[in-house]
Amino acid sequence: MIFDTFSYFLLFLLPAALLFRGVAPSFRAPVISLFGAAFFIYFSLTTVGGVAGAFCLGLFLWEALVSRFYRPGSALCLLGIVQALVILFVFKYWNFTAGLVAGPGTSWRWTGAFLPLGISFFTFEFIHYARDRRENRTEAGGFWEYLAFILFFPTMVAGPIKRYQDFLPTLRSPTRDWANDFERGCTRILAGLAKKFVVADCMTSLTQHLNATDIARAERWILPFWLLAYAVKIYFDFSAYSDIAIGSARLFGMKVKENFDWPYAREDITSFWRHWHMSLTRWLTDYVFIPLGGSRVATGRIYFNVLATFLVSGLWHGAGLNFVVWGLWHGAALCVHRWWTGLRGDCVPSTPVRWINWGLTMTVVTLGWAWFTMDLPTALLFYKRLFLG
Amino acid sequence: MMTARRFLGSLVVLAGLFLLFNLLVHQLSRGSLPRKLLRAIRSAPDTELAAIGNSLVEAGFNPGEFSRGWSQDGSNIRAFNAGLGSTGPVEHYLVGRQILRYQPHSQRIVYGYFDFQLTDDGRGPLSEVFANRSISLIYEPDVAAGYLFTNGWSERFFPWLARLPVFVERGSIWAKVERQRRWFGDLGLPRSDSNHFGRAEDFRYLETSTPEDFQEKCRGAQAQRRPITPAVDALFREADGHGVRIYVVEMPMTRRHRDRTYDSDAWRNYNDYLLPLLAQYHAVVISAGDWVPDELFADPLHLGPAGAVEFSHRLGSAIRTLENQRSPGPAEKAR
Amino acid sequence: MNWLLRLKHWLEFLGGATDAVPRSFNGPGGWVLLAVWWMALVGLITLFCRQASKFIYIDF
Repeated sequence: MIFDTFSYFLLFLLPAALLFRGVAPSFRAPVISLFGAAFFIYFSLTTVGGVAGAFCLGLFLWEALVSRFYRPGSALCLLGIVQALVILFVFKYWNFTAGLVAGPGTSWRWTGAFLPLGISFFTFEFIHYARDRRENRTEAGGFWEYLAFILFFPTMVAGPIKRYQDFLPTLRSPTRDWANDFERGCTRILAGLAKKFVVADCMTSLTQHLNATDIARAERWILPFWLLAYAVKIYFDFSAYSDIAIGSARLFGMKVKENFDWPYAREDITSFWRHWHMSLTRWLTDYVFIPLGGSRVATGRIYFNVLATFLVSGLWHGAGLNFVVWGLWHGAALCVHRWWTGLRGDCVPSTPVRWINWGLTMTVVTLGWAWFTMDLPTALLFYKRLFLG
Repeated sequence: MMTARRFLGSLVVLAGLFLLFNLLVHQLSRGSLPRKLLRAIRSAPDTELAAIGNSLVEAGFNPGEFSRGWSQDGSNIRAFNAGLGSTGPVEHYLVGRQILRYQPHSQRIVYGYFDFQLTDDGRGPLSEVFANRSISLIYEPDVAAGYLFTNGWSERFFPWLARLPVFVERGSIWAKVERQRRWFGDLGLPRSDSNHFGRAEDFRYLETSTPEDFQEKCRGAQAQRRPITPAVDALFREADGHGVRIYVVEMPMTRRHRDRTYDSDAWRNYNDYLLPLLAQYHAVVISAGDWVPDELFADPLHLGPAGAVEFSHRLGSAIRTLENQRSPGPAEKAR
Repeated sequence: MNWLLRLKHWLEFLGGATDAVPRSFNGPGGWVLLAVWWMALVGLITLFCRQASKFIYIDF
């Protein structure tokens, strides 16, 4: 939804991009902010969250105000991080945690729970800004500039997760070569829509069977194809979304960093993660892995840091035990790869070995998608049928 | 390097290609179901009774058998099946308008319904106006727009989209892709029954999830004083204005569906609630829900050919009897 | 592997991901080819858009 509606293109993207290019530089940030606010309200009302979701625009305004007090080394930045985590926890993880702690029927459940549009993404941008301001890695920028950063609607809902340091220069001096920007931007958007409709959505005819009933009654030989179809679907779906987001930004004359770089062509799991959902991987590296000590600690601790980072990644993807397992699956694969690389040294693999590496990487990634797309009992049933018949 | 001139040149070429593409689609889609129905209505000006509705009517109404049921006393009637699958009240209204215009002898309309078709508003997003629902884009988009959407933006945009054959006919082209997609999706699974309306099992999903939900919906419609769906209201109002007699027929359902839904006080009360609403159009309500045994159904919802014979014959006979007894007054219920 | 790199470059160009124009596309008729490519994409989008499902990451 959203990126495949006429409303997105005709009510928001085109008018905002044209106005942005037409107004004086000092009005650019307010143009993005106002269109971003209207976008948030419109799509909250028409897709997720409803009226309550639309009121969550207040979170952006509050964040924009509070962020004006962030200073290098200031404790307020830490409070900003805690505030973003609390927002994320309440909306996304409250019921999951209540269910885990007090059982499924608990009265602690929030029955009217809803997810504000793009909460997983904008809270990560809030955290990034607070942390980088504390570490003095970014300038404060103006109120409207920061508001434009968090309300930049092409990337607001599902990324790529931006960095303020990258956003500010492109906001202040967008490219003026409008013909090239529009040609490349439109091509990117059209290619993204085609990827989504033609490839990703066509895979649904196979992936819709990834449920307990169909898994139980299907012939065994089709099961790997269903999972492979999901691997294709999620790549074409999410990379298409990123294409449209990046192409949309291009219409403003702004360049947003890439989110995918041929991840399925990679020959090891570490390389896969450097090229899959790159903005998230970079975020997790900078704000989880490195603060935990990164790879400059004892070997055992490195493995722990990798597992912890991917546990966070799994939980970020969804409030469910299957996502925890998916995160740990990839964390474990990365640990094994790190151990193997240390054992093997720096030798250059031959072509057949590279193909084997690629096959192994694809197998691990594809098998991992089972945890991602099915709840735990269904995924276990899937594996049971796949391997034991 | 892309210059402004080259970019604008590309846009102009794209516009030209898009025009050609539309012409091609327009040519290829001449045989689409909505257009076929439109041609059929226009080529049957002698029709005296037309049946309107969705796939239940399309599958269940057999004009020949209806005429045979009607003509027990030797009189004759020319009946016409204007039912079309995957359509809703707005499309039925537009089909009805075509009938009133091109079938001037049509003095009776049979409107087949099931569940809450008479009171569900049915407004939705633009993307739902697709496939056979493209009647709304083909017949009278300006009229249809007022009944289809909840937001004014889509309402104003709709008549413009109706001028684009690729938008109007995308359903009939997509149907070919969809068939391949279904074949692909069914690989490795036990064979499932399907007919020309789609996979038989899929029609179960059209039913309200539980009997309790169904009964709650019956009570809700009464409590909220739900009016007749605006498009159905418009259809009946115009038909009544033309002096056309309206027969509102509760279509035959399987034993399972009736057990779960119709055999309840809630449904009976809901139908009683509908009677005065339908009286304003002088409509006669005919409950045919239990007329056909399960074995004559092709799937959980649609009648098979033998079921259509059984239902249509009995309907013809019932309407004839009603008309012989008295001329219909305010809404009444017949079995 | 040169052809693979060329194919990658072409795909990235056709997908709008790179500004570097492939040599064979840079001729005088390049802008017409571009319009044909856009039309192909528009045609595919129009024909396939019906089954549109939510983007997976929208719910995250």
